[in-house]
Amino acid sequence: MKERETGSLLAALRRAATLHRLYGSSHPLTGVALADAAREADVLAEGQPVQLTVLDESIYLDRTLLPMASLTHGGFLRTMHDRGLRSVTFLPPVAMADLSRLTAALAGEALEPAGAGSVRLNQDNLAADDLEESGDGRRVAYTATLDLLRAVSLAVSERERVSLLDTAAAVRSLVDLCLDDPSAALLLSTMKSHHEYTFFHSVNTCILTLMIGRMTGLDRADQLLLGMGALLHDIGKVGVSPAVLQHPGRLSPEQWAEIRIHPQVGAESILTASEPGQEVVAVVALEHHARYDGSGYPNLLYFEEPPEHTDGYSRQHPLHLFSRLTAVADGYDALTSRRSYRRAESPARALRVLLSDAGTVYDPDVVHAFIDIMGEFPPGSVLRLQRGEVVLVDQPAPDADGPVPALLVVDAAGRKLARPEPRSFLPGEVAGYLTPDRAGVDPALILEQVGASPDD
Amino acid sequence: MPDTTGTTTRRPAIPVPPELGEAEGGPPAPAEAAESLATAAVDALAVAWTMFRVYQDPRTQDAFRRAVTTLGALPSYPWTLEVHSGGFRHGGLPVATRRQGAAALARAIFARGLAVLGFSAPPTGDDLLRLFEAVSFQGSPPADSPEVAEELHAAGATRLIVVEHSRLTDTPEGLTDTEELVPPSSDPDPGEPRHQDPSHRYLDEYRLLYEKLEAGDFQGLQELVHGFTDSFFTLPREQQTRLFEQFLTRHEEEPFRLLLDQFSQDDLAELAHLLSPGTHPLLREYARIAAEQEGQTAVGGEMLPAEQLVSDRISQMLRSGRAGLRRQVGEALRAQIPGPRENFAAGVRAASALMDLADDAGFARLAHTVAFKAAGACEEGNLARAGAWGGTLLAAASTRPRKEAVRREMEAALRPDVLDGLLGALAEGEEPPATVVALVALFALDQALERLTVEADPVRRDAFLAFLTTAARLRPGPLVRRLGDPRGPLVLRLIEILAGTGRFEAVAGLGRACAHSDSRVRREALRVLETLRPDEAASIAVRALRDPEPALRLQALGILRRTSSREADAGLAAFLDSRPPLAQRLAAIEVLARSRSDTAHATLRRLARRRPWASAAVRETCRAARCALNGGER
Repeated sequence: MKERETGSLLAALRRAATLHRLYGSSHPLTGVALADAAREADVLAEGQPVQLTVLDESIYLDRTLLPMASLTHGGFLRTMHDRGLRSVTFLPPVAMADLSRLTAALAGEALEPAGAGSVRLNQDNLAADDLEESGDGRRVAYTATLDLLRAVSLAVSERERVSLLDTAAAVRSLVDLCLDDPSAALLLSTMKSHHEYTFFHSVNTCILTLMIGRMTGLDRADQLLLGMGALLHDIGKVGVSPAVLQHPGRLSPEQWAEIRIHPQVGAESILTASEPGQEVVAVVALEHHARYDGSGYPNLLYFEEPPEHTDGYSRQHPLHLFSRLTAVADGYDALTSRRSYRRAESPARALRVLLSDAGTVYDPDVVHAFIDIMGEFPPGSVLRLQRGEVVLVDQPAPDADGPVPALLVVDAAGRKLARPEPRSFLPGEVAGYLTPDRAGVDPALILEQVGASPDD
Repeated sequence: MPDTTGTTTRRPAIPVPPELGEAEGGPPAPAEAAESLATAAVDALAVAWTMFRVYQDPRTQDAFRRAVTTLGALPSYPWTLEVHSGGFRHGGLPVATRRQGAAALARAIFARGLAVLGFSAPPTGDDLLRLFEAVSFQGSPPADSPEVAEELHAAGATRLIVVEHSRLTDTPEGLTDTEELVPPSSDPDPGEPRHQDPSHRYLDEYRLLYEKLEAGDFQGLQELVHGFTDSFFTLPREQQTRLFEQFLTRHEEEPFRLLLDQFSQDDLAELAHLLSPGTHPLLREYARIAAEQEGQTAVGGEMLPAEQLVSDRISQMLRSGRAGLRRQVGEALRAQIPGPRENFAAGVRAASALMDLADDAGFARLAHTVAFKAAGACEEGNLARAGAWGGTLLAAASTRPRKEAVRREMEAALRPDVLDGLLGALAEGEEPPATVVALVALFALDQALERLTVEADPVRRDAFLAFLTTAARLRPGPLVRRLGDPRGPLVLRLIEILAGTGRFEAVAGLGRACAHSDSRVRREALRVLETLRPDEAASIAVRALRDPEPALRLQALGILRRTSSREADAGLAAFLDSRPPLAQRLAAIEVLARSRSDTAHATLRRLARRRPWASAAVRETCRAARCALNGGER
């Protein structure tokens, strides 16, 4: 399986298409990007024709599913779909001029016929039956949940009735994942996608929230409700215009007003869809931005007045426990993700922010529980050690003073390893934190490399 | 078509644009015509440009002359094209062209700082040559050289229209001419070769592309900002420092604030070390503002020391006493785990909050949702949940439009099968919450009454009767209105319910029921009326003395016996005048005997007059009357 090579090619194609769109096809920068993409295509092909097929929200290399690429290059998937491209065949050596037709199509220009040449579009579209399914259960659960979120979002945006049955099924898989393999779940939660931020963020928030819920001792039924709330907490954002969501800066008051209603929009949709016993899922959507001290949004009257006691409900804090758990996970993932308006923070800084805001924005007990789960060096942290090595933490440390399990991705001489190696370290060895993009490290891809067999 | 001028050249033949108006087929639609016109004009310009670049004197070339002719045959003047880095546009739409030279010409014109090119009149070949000379890089124009428009005018190219947006000052070394866009910045440093400093090129190019973005192109804006932010980190440190200082200094300008906002706290912390002492306070100020705007605590004001304190706290938390912390936190959280009832209550409360926050349209949607949740719970027989939902809905109906919305939704939601569910729960002994009673009373009383009429099971019927009695206490109106229903058994139930309410409104209705076609209803109504309002019952009893049903007349007499009033006496007198059967006559006399009114006395005296020739019944009546007058002894 050539996930890494395919990922590199897709990233290069995306960059070339972006530059094509900004500068035009003749600009030197575009030419450099095309040359890179052609080189990546040749590396992937290794002298033989290869075909990338896009089908059902998945990317296939020849007939093999590439789950990681499918997850992390959702934008490429959508662009291909929008442009009517089902497949791209590369016949090495790939010529830049041929590749330029592909990037022009990806950039939104008219699609030229496949023709002859080293890059052929829609030449041999494979049917679903021709393609293989593969991928381990973790990624299948993650992918399935992403697909579900896309479907739910579409239903909410078109004001159609949403079914929470499928949501419950997806969350069950994630609950199982968190219970059976918490380390893998935590590492999976480091998956990021800038172009599908809301969906990836929702799945990651769900995983992280379930981990806190697991520590809290919730039973399975409660875990399911908690997970559904966390998964759907931002579903109301479908009502926010892309212009606001993608605005690369601070929001104007009008834009802020548009964002601030998403808890209500989401809560209303969920409430309408909820069956008896699932109403609390809507509570999480409504309350997740309310803040521990009530200074958030929306302005909930029951924060100011004692609620009426109905059937023995005893209030301990105005915000439901599930909302407070989700808020911490939500904040952490948002901080560690590249947003339209800000680059990602390191996991360590994100923990510091959570702790600084404990008692005001976040429930202090929940923050402490989360820090305990993540440790001083949360999974997904990219660190530079004193000797110059760069490591990626892939599991929480069993204890605070002992070695931290990690993967060596760049050696002391500055060479990037083709395949990461286990390299635990002591806290005292840490020289500094790096963000993944600054370090040139893709945690999701490394997860894939580590999970794949040596023959892949 | 090859070049036919006869000039010998080793250059490849240059295709010639078609003449205007030679398009095949019928006349095109107006939009298509404008599009084809623009294409033809751009093609002509491209050909002319290519001729200029190839030949010493392109005016000698037939292709060039044809291009001039084409441009001179535009339907109207002035006629303009927008110039972009990738091509030309006309009327806001990209102009399709087959000529490779078109893109090169557009870049050249754009790089020369022109945003618009046009013709105020049919251009001559010399006009085009002046233009091409102006946009070609024959060397670096001096800093004080005139604007392009002035230059062209001075050269005699008066039929050209040009609009500038920037001005090229130099050509970067190593790049082909016309392929780099480096407009001058607002404050050039005369001592520094701008084109060799990547930071300046970075700023200039970013600014140029930013300004070229179309309004509303949010995706393009994001890609631009992200692209330049990412590339910032690939620059050498000293370049980063210079650029970052520029961002900070100019952070009030939107384009630079967007870049600055992209930096994470990690980025800012790292860059803070690179800044000159004079700039560092700016970073603090920026971070403080940014933190405030994001609603964070004042970590940003004193970034590095506070961050270190927090890090120390995390380390301490995890290293010393982690087990204790875990236990303490775990216990605290476990104590707050809600049960199903608390979860439900939270959901109801959230619904209430949503309705409070919503506008009227949103409220109507929520009312629909909550109404059907209440009804659904009722249908399942879960009256507690139904009551909770219903109570939330009723409490939220604070204005007339919202009340109307609630009424509409509840009336739609409370279907017959919902009432079946309610009935089942009642029959099992479940105590209905007050809100469920209110919901039925307000929105489904008629339906409930209909349901009652067909309920055969006595246990269920009795339970329903008790429930409806409670509901009718809140709102007896609908029951009263239906007392005129021709179905006797239904009206009997209604009377039974109303009897239990004790409400005054029931009385008027019962009075009407005393005139019901069904004698059972009349009797029952009269009976209940007497219990509620004896004085009102007396007047109706007087009317009932004329009822065709003998039992009812006797009932009326009984009522009158138990009450006394002038009206009753007058009624009895009239009754006696109607010569009722002897037994009823004697009963009436007995009632009158108890009265001390003049009417009663006069009536008795009239009846007591001897009539020797009268019938036995009359004589008996006479004797009874005399007896009544004499104090009751016969």
